[in-house]
Amino acid sequence: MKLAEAMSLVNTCRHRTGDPFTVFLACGFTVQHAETFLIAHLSQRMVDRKVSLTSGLYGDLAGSLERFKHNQSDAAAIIIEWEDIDPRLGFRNGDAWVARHIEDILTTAFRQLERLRAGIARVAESVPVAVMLPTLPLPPFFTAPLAWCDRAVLSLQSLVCSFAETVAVLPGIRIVNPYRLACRSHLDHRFDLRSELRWGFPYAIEHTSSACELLAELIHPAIPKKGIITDLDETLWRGILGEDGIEGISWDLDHGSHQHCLYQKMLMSLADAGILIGVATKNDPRLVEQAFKRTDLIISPETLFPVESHWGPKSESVDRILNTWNIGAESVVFIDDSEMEIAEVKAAFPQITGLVFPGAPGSGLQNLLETLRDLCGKALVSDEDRLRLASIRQSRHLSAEISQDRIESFLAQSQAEITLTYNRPDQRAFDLINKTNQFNLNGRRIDESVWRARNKDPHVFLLSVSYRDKFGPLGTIAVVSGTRDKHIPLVDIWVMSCRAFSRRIEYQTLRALFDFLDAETLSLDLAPTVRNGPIREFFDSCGAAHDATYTRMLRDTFHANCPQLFAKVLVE
Amino acid sequence: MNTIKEKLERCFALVLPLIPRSELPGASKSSIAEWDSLVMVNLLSLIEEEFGIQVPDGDLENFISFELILDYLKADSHDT
Repeated sequence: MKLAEAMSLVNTCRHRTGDPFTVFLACGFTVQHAETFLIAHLSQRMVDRKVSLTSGLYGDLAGSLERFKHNQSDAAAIIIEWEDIDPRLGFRNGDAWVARHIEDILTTAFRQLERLRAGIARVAESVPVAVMLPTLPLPPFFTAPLAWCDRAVLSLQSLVCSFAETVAVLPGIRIVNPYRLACRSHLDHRFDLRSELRWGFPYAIEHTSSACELLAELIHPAIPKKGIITDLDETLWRGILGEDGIEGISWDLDHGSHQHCLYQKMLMSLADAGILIGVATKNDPRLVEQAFKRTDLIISPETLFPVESHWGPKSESVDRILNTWNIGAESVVFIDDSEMEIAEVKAAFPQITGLVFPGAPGSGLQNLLETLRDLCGKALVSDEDRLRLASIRQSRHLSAEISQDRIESFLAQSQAEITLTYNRPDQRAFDLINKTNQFNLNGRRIDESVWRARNKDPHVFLLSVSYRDKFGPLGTIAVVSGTRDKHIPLVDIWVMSCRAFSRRIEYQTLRALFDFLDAETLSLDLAPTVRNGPIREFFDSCGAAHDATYTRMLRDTFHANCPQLFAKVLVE
Repeated sequence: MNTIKEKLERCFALVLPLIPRSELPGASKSSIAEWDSLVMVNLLSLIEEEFGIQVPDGDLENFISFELILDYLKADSHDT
């Protein structure tokens, strides 16, 4: 991004009327263009928010962290450079570059990094923190020629690595991947000595943009994709199944088709992290079934569900797969070796992400694998992620088996157990709030800082609901939250995973909520969205009344409309 | 094709967004209260980016008004 574009975005962002989002930018140099680019990149990622920035004092990074006030921002970006670890490692310092200082610098660096670690941990208690480790080259201070890795330089790098390792395990902290930065900002083009001496700002413009772009990605990460729909011929494997036969397709070094092996490995890795993998192929289904019996496949065929194999348009396959998964096209990546097939699918589902499988190994393949990790990556893989595919298979089986007139007997025999957990916030609850669309009270997403503030507020309640039956567990599938400081409690968050539909979990949740809050009436901050029809239908079926401000649910009305409930309820 | 004056006006409009466009050609450090050191840094960086030049420290004395900067850029353009 050019500076002119960044400044234009900053000027536009000032006029936004959405909720404010304030970032605390802590660095030892003058913030200058870092402020401009950080706001610009964040404003691109948060298109409806009014992004602004506060900063610490010049030349005192550790002090800025120690003075951080817990209610001053929604997130923090911390940029550490060598000068913050010891001023003698900077270019504006007047001390001589003499070898006798080196041992002392190492001692000082150790202590200063400890101080920074404590300061970062303090900031992370209230807001999510993105940390950038030193990105600039060290000054030519050390005695060895530059082609040699000086022992003291290795010691300094080792200290920074150890520091990063201890910081990365603290909750709410994300460290910028230096290798990712290196892809976007060449080491030789990062430092601007003229700007450093003139203004006290050491970064070249291009480097500032790249660094701030990554910080913005960590502060406001994209919602990971939930599923991948892949082609088979010339994509999952080399060859055309119908022409080359089951033994003629390949994915190994011997046949020069190892790129398909790498692709299978990536899909398997993503499936292991809970990403759904479906297949849309123009093929004879019997041949596909036989090909999946090959024992040397890297990806397990059980991982691929559903498999749409026929000669019709791929958009029809995608439609059926999305229905089975019960997710929107915006959460899915479609991969095919044919640009025409991708165009046909995108014409039907403009929000789907289409990626071409490259014809030959090389940078195109590496880009594809890295893009998939970027689009689907998550720092933590939860138990619910691992259960997702099994529960979708189960749901399809159930919907095929159960007709409406048999639902009562089915639910009565399902040996369902619902576990209610009160006021125990965790990452799964936060993720569920921020990715659920259909059974979502109002579609609002919340920032980590808001989430943390709610969790500390004694007036806010949080109910997490998990479910299991004789077919297996679904894990935590619903979250309800609100405030109970008023005469009538107000529920402003209620989400439930679509995997949990048709089990009457929402009725049992509402019944438990009346009991837990000891309330005769609940106010619900229900607002229609494009996709939250299921929750609105639920409240209509319960007899909820809508007024100008809130939806009201009376306990008596609910009980009068509530169907028979069969699940055993446990409270933790 | 944008003239030097139009390109300079765009730079000024980005760093001084609250000043009406018509007043920019008369803008100077003494007449614009918002023209502080941060504006100066941004303006210089934008001009360097927009015109593909590097302004030496010794020439910064010219960067105190729209008119003087315009003259400087015109002279630089003739030089090259």
